[in-house]
Amino acid sequence: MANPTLPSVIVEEILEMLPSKSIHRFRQVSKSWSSFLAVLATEKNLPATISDRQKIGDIDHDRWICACGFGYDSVVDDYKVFITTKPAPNGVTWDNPDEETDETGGVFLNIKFSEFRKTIAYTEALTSPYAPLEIKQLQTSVKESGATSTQQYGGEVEATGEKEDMIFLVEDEETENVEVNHSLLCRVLGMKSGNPQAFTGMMKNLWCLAKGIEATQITRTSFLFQFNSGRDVRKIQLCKAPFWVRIYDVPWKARIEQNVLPICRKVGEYVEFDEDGVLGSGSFIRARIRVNVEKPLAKEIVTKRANGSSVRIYFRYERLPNFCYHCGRLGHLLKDCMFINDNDEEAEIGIPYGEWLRASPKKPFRMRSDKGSDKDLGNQTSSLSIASKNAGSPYSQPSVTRTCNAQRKLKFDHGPADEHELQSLTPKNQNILTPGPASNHQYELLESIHKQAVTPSKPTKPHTPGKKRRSLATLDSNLLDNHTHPTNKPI
Amino acid sequence: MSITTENNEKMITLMSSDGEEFVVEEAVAAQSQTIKHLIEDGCSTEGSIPLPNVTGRVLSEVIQYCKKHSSSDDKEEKELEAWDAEFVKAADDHVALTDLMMAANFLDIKGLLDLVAQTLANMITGKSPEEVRRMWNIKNDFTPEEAEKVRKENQWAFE
Repeated sequence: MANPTLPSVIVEEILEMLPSKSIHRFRQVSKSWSSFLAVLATEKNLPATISDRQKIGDIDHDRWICACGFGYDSVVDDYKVFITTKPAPNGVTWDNPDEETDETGGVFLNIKFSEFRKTIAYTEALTSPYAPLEIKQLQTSVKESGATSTQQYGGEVEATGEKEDMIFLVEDEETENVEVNHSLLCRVLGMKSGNPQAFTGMMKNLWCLAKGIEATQITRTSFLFQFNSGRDVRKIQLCKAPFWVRIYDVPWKARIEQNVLPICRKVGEYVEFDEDGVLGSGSFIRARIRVNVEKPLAKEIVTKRANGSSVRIYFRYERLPNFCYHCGRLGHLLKDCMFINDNDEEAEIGIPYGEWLRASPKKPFRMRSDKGSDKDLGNQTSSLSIASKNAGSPYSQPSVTRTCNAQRKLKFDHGPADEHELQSLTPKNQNILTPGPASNHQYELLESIHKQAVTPSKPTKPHTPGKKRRSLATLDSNLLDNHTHPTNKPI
Repeated sequence: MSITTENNEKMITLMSSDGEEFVVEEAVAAQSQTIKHLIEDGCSTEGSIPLPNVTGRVLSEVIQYCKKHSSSDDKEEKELEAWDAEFVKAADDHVALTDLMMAANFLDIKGLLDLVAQTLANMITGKSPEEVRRMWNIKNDFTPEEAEKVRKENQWAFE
């Protein structure tokens, strides 16, 4: 029997019944099929063709090629996203990701398309020609964490998408366009309730670039920063943030650079020692170290002395933002940790990290020469936000220091605080920001703390609820303790 | 021509393109929106309703479907589904199904249309574009360059 011809009405009836998987394949049948299926794909909210796909996130991906493929995963009945740092070669298929990953240096992210739409406007893959080192590190960390299985990694991406406040930068190296070359595409993960204007303004201030930056908000959480000079781009670091780290229990005799520098390198990239130098002051040496925020924080190391006995050396971090007590990584809290294995016995026995990893700010009341205090200001303001940047010496404004300390204590007393902490990674000293005003009761507490500190005999404010008052009392004694004995933090 | 049976059911005569006549109850015929409108417009009173697009073979199948679906109640849904499955299975190949679908489209029988469309869609799901083109004599109107472009864009769809 001769094959029948189909009127277009009937074709459409049939095609509407197609499973989503087949829709794109049959676009090759004929032009009329192609156009109808394109419409159908849009109606069904499916990823369309590559050219359509690049518009995901409302951005022209011709200039920002990073998501280069989608695949249908029949196991989970959903589309997956393939992301690479370079434009994908022709013939990339979903089935052999490893092969293609090697060839292109791309990164595979196993993300459900629906999730992709929802949480990841576009990828965190980097193609900045200015920071090859950081790219490599990021890729390595992606591969490491995804090593167990791609499926697990998919879960991770979702989790980070929700909670982590890391900024990822995407840049295209293909284009000749100067404007584009000097641009950065940033996305703030977890910025649900953030203020975009405040964020861009903050970033501009932080970067302090001579020629300025143009910031454009692209989607709700995505921003395009255009730098007027190519050199400016180089200033921005990607996954390392400098911290003042206290190194405790280094034997006096061993306090020479030859010993301490390797110890610093266990934590991260050594930047400098404080004015006390390698000898340190008392029980610890204070060093500024660029810490890779994607890796767990170093807690301690064991060293061997010349006489054969071993010495445990502890690290404490000043101005440490929220971090996970399970995996020791910055940017998420214990409850959001994706490295927790449900079957992990350890999780029930005890958590490997704790509040103790934070060091209290350095000796606020210690008398010091003017020269020293100027330098100290830079360190102290690390989490005080820009407001205090222009303030004088911290000693003339003790409340500023205290406020900061109290906030930290407060967080501890009430369990993990779920405030948003924007972490910007800059080589400058102000590496941590706590944006937005403190919540009312926090503010209130801080106020009364200040009062108490001035007149310690007075009771706390009567309208403070009992529970809070109690924590306030502890808070206060801690606070005072810290001021009188700045180094008495338990090790 | 309309006949009234002992059940007081109005009977309708349908005439296929090849001259075959089918006498069916009005309730059965009225499942087709097209026929229903013709009846409402009074066409049926003057004799058989001509259906120039539908052959006798296809029409008999359609009537079979309509009879089943007019007599069944909602509670027999499961049984009806099984019957539908058997029904399209009997149609055997895509040619017969296409004819059936065209008839269903012309006669505007929603249930049948969906049923056959789904069957055909399932049928082509596993096929290559070339096979699909052959099934329905679809002309590949892409130029080689265009074809390559479309193929590349949809590459991932081939597992």
